[in-house]
Amino acid sequence: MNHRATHASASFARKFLVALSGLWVFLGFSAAFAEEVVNLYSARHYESDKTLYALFEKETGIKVNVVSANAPELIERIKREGEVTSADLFLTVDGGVLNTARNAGILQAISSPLVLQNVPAALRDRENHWIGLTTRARVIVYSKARVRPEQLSTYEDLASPKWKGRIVARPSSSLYDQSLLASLIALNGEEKARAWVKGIVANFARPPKGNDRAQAKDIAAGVGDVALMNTYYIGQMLNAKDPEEVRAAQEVGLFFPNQATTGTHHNISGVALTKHAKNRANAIRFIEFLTSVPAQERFSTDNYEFPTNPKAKKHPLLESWGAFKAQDVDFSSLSVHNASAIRLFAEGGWK
Amino acid sequence: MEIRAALLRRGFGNGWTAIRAFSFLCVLLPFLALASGLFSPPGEHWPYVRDHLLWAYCTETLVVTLGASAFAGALGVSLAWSVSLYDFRGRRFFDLALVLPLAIPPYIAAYAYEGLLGYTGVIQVFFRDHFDISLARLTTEIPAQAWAIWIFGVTLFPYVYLLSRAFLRHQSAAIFENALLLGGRARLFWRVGLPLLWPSATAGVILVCLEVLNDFGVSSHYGLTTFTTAIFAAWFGMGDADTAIRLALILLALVFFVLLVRKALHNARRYHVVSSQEKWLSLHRLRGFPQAGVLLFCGLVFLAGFLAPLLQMLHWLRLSWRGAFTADLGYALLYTLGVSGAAALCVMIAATGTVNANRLFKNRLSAPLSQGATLGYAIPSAVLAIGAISFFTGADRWLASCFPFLPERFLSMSSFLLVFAYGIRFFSIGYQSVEAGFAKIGNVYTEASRTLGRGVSATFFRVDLPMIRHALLGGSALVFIDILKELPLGLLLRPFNTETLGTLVYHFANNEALEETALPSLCIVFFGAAFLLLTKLGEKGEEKRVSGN
Repeated sequence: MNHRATHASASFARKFLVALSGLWVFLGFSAAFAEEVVNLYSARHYESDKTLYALFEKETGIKVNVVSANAPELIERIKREGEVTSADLFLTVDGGVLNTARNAGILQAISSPLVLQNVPAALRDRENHWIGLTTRARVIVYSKARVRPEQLSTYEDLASPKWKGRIVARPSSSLYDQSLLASLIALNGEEKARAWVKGIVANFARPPKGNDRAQAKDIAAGVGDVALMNTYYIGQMLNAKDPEEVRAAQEVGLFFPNQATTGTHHNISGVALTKHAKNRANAIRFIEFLTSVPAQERFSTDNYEFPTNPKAKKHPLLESWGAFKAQDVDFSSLSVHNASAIRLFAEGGWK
Repeated sequence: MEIRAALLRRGFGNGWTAIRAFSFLCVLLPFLALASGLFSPPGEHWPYVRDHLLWAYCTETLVVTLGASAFAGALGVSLAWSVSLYDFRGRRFFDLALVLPLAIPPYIAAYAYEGLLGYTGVIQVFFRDHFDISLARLTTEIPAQAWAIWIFGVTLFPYVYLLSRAFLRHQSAAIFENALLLGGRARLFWRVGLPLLWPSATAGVILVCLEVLNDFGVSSHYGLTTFTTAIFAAWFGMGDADTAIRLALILLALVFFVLLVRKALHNARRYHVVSSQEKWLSLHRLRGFPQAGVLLFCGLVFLAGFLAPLLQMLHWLRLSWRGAFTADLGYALLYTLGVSGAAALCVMIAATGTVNANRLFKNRLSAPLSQGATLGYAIPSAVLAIGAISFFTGADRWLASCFPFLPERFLSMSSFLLVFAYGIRFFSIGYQSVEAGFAKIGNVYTEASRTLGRGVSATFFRVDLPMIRHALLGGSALVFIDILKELPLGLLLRPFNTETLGTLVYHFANNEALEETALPSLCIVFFGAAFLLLTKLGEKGEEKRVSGN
């Protein structure tokens, strides 16, 4: 009896496995046979992006195929794939990363007049090897209960002894802080940046840990009083499904630093056309779509990012923060100084 | 004919050795693709990394790995001992339940613990709202290494538990009864139990050790500077592949050392109890305080490793269930199951072939070949992925020139690449299970069958295979679950428009929307737990059948 049962279950297991194997082969290949496609290697993992892809498919009948992974891995992948790469477009956050891709020789210039008209020159590559889609600012968040905004002024000021034991930060493995430090190296030079890291480390309320949202929560919890945070995370927290997240976000205020001096650090999320793109026309059409007003407004309403197309309306929350002066640092310098930034963090003891 | 016989004697040129050689080659391929990096001069950042960071990488990696291994080892052995030798209320439940933490990927456990104990978590909110007590300081004072060790310990101890428990279950009662007559019950553990358990417990601890050495998710969540995060930082942060490869080599050396230690420990103490009249251990019934103590211990470990993360995920699901059940999730689920099943099958075939070749056709090459093949476990996933892409892109170019009718990028843009990489990565897990299975039956039966005139392969299918069936099933379940939990390879190697459950979780966590991770995480946990329980129940059924006869 038992023997028969074992056999029956074994043959069922075999059939099940065969069916599943068939399925994954089918799923894997179905993409290769579609008619009009554009292939995307994306390091943006936002749910709102999926909505945009679906919109584009509906509008044009061009299927959007996506592989998503971390940006540096995707760059390495495109490099290694060389001429046979399947990627038409590379989508990522951080100007430094975009510039790294450009220097790796895997991109080509985008010449669509419509795109160049949609996005101001300051928010795209000098030779249009990449086009900015959105920007985000890295601002100071502070405890509404224990800090008055008048006490805040600049990033540099956070290194002064008056903030001793009051700063919470995330580990320096985060690209957001690496790019911020790279911009400070570009503006103030390496020596001042080194001193800045040491000053911040001396002011830590606890060793660096957690993500951006965790910093806001630790301020709400009273562990620290100030932290650095990307603007869209504040928008997301204030609109989170978990009511406790919303409560924590309401405890913190938002401050755009360096308004009287060099401007607030902002970074860019952009799209680039790969050198060996097979579906060039579709890719260009997709970039035109992403930089158009309706798509740009989606970026802002769904994901709380600043649109790069000046005609697009911002989310009311972003509107309520008002205009701010942004850093005048070439995005390409973020990648130039990235290795130095990692070194300075390590030397200064910012884990 | 004579040459063939001579080759066979030397262990060359039959199907079994071919599988062994093939497995080794598979692992070697991605290495070859990276080999150019090995012989190039050190990268520009190497002197800096060597002088300033290497020591920190080493100490942090060692602290976390040793801490987690010791913690998991202690939990696994003591729980296996309690469940195997004592009878207490709930014993049968815990015997099964204590393997369940294996279904929870450590990085998901880390997210869940953050959700549970963090500022917005249920516990802190409860104390804050009802008693006006802030626990924020408490959780921030605990260093990141301790968190990581805790997470690894409570989610990975079942490796040790499973192997120790399996060993104890098949122990003859004679040894323990004699030991009991000669000394007390307390001394039994230290003087007899632990030495006997040593080989299986260390095998489990080694698995924990390798898992921790290769972890990326937990380390990056807690901001630890371990070798894997350092390799990412050097390669992708500093853009210095040569330095990254050097770091990867150090990690590889470390893993090789661990495997050597295992071999040494294993060879030094190996006990085969051969007795024709096996009597299983009889359980010692506990009552009163000892019973409550054991129960509390088992309960707490189960809570920490499984129940608490599970409840946190259910809490998140309650907040995020609207819009969470999407077609994407369904596809991801099917795809993950399919790929994991296919890869587990490949691994078990390769592992069985290799082990069988090793025991029957030993030669000077067999040990290094099979040890080499298990090294796949040690290659950091990012390095393995990039190596595999390089190799198969080349292979595709060649294929396309020979067979122009094939779809474009037949291998490197299909699930083949992913299955291949999973296979390399988890070969070692399958290998260890099969090796343990064969070790248990020894060579006696095989030799008897050979003496009676059956060939090697006939003997394998008629004699060996039925006897190691449970080791194979257990091994494939472990491999399957490991793939289900795997993250970095899936992230980098899956074809267009496919997500694995792991990558879905990662995307949500990366967007810092932890509550959205609930549903895909629960799918991973559910299927992992289901497979674990099925294997365990299958083993039990088998035992009943055997002892009933």
